[in-house]
Amino acid sequence: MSTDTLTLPTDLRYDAHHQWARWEDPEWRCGVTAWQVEAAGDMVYIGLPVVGSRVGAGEELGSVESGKWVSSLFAPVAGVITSVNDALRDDPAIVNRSPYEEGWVFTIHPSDELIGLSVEGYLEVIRAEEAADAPRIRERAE
Amino acid sequence: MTISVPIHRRREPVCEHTGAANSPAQVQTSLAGAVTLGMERGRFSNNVHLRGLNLLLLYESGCRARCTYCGLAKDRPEVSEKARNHTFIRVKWPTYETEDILARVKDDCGRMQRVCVAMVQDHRAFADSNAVMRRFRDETSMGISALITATVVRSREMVEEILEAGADMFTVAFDACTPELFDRTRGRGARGPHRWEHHWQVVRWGVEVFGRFKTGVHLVCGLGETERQMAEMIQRVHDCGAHTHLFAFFPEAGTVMQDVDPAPMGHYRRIQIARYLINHEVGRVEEMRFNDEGQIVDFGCDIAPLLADGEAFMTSGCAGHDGRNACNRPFGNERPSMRQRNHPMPLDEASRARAAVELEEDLRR
Repeated sequence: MSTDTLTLPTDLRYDAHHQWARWEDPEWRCGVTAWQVEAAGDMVYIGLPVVGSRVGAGEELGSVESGKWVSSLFAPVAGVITSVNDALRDDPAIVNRSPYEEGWVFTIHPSDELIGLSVEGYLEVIRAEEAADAPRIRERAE
Repeated sequence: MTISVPIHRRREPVCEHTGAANSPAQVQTSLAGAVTLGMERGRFSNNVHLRGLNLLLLYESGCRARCTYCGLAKDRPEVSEKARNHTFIRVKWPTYETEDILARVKDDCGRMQRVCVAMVQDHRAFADSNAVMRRFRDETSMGISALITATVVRSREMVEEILEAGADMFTVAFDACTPELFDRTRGRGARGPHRWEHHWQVVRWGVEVFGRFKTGVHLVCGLGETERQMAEMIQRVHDCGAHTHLFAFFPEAGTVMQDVDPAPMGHYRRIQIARYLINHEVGRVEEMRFNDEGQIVDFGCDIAPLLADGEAFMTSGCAGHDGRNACNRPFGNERPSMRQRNHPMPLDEASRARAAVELEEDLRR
């Protein structure tokens, strides 16, 4: 097993789906965390939400997909989708190269308060997932 | 402001080979294989475990065939150079040093039970495939499948050499199931080098040299065949003493068939059932009934046990040491978000129920 480092911006809100949200008044800009990207590998398809759609908090609204893996995208808060990152249609791997900047996925105008995780809270999510994966890691290492 | 946190990797990724690459020093591996060996970042949906490693020979000059559906085709002009050299069956096939792959395989504790070494159309492929297989024979305990390009195998003696190189399974990528389809997609109609009769000759040599049911024939559903034509081909292959392994056509960017839709799910499901019945000698194609469009409307026996079990809908391929299919090719035919034609793992109850419904799709009684 080897160790690497991962950078987590402290000014973002996170959730257990490995998504981030940045407040850019009057809306949240959202994307997928570097941890998720690192685990998933090169993205091959991003299922973007529909601009103008009204969604509930936690509602499934899209997908992120690498060669052998797919996960849903969820609304971090109730609101209206105001824009999506069209550049991801042609080049989904932007998410790999720049998960917190050019690789943003959608923006949402909230109708409620976003209850997310701080960077410390998100770190616990990562540690819990790594712990769950540890037996498999050990098994492979032996 | 950012914080840096340590993360744990199973293994350090291995750098892909860059620049000129030629087998046997370098080979391509499936994305699934590279991920499983920890050479490439990535993970699998549904906690799928890969049971077989797929390797593909490569040459700077590329594959010299022109199969109309294949991402390796010599004339695949409408994609970037990078994609042409590194993607196949819709995903990346990274290139590594053969030494690096062997080192990782030895470290894999035998979880992957089989390696499949696939040729491309090139005069060097026969010798180079044998060289790679010898390394796996001498240095690992994996079963070895030789996925040969029939056109470069010109004699029974060459098949014997493949056996001596360590292969215990001999597989032939036939792909198309009728002479006309074969010619149109791989042969003269595609300005390609492959010939139907020669492929059959090589299958017969395979059965003679490797023994009955130690030869496999790859068939691709969705190249324009009817279900009847595919079932008849499966029966002919089985009667010859060879297994059949099913694949589903998926349009690949830049190929001649890039705009052709995949065959309907029902088409594939019915062929999976027919194949299972024929290969397990539970039924024969002569006992099946077809409608005017060549669709299977009656399998000639009770298929309820097959639907309850679901094994017929799993990926078909060469077996591992435990007798179960070792070539499970997860998400090999479609993107992971799509309905899977080949299930890489045993089906759960919901998947079995869904497959039973899919079996009836697009069926005109």
